[in-house]
Amino acid sequence: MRILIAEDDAVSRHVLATTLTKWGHEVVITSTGLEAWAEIQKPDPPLLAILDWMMPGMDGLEVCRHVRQRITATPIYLILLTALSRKEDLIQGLEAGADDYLTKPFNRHELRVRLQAGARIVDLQRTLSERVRELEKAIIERKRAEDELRDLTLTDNLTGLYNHRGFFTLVEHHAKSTRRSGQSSLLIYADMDGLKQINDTFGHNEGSLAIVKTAEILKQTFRDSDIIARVGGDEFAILAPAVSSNELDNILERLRVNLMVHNERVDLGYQLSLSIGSVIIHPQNVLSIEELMAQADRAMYANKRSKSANAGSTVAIREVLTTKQLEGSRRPDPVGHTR
Amino acid sequence: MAMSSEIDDLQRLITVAPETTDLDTGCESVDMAVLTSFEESQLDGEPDLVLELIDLYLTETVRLLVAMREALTNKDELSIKRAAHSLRGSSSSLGILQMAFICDELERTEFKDMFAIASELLKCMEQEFARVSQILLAERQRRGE
Repeated sequence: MRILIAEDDAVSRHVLATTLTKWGHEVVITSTGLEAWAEIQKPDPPLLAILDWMMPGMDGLEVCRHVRQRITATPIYLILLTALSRKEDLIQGLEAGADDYLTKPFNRHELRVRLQAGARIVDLQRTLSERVRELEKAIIERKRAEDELRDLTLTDNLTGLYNHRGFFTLVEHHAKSTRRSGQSSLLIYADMDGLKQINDTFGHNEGSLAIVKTAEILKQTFRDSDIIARVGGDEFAILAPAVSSNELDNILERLRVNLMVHNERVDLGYQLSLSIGSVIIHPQNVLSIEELMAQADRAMYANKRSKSANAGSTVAIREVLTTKQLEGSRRPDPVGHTR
Repeated sequence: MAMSSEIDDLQRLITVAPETTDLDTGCESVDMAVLTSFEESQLDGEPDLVLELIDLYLTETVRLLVAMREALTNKDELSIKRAAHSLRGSSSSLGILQMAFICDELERTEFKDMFAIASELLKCMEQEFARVSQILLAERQRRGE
């Protein structure tokens, strides 16, 4: 194995280097603590070092301390070489981070067995760190596989509704059939009011529960054939096919009533409320689903703003798009709903 | 030149009369068994290790003794002790026992009266070195340089 030696006395250094070479080791020779420390900091340093304790400048103890302050995958096994043999000195050496010590002049047989012990530890640590690296790699791969799988799912874990990806996948598919059927459909963007306050006041579990309750109310309000999705933390999107613009008010009223009934039936310390933006998609529509969503989103924000402007009342604003509007004469038609 | 001054130093040091020193510990000057045990570590195709070690020891010791002398003049305790520590390390590694013992004494000497004692010990070291180098040079010759 590769062994680093640091010894300022030329005679002892030569004895040590020759002995180790004779035993088949590759020796990196330094004569000061500073040189040894420089070797240790190089990439792929020797994993076993024999350091003389007393050296001018940085001594062996200091090298031990420096080495132990560094965190590396494979720690270096440190043997202190010392002419001191008092127990206090040895304790001080081990406390500084040495793994073992040898008293000078060293006995060759003792050096050999101490090196064997060191080599065993170095091997164990190397195997261990290789195993850790393998495991880390496996964990990363596993995580990637899970992420890929999650990317493929279409439903939201918490509510059982479609997720963002699911919504867009189904809506794209639906858009084609709408064009063929010649019927308009309704796109709704709904954003929960005050989820942050619910989280802050009652905790995130309660926040999650509020999301689930909202999802239930949406399921209850819309038809089975409608596409209901949770597209973000507190954001929902609904696509209701085969709905004409004059049915919009009924649907929004149904939603309002369902929310009200829920709020009256259970007192959770907060009220469930939604800000809503809606867009009627006509069969002749040429806008992409992203553009339609952006319009619904804008209408929802206008709704949220007007609600905070006159607190206490919940207002839904709808935006009706006709073919004409698409051609340029866009005429917003805000209607206030008070719950 | 550095090289010739080293040789001068060596010559001066080994001609110090090997009188009996105050510090007779009964230690051998050189434990030949230790020195020759390095034959075990001899690498094939490399120069004679024991010869190399003898040369290295002689050069290093001259350097350290000169450094100690200088540090003593400058009353630089740290440098004296550091040099004594190094010399103890190399001496004990090669089985140069008496020298290692004197170095140990010097390292242990406390600050009070340090320089008077150090001066005495350094004299002992120089005398001991004269003895050691004669033995080592003889061993060098025996090995056929």
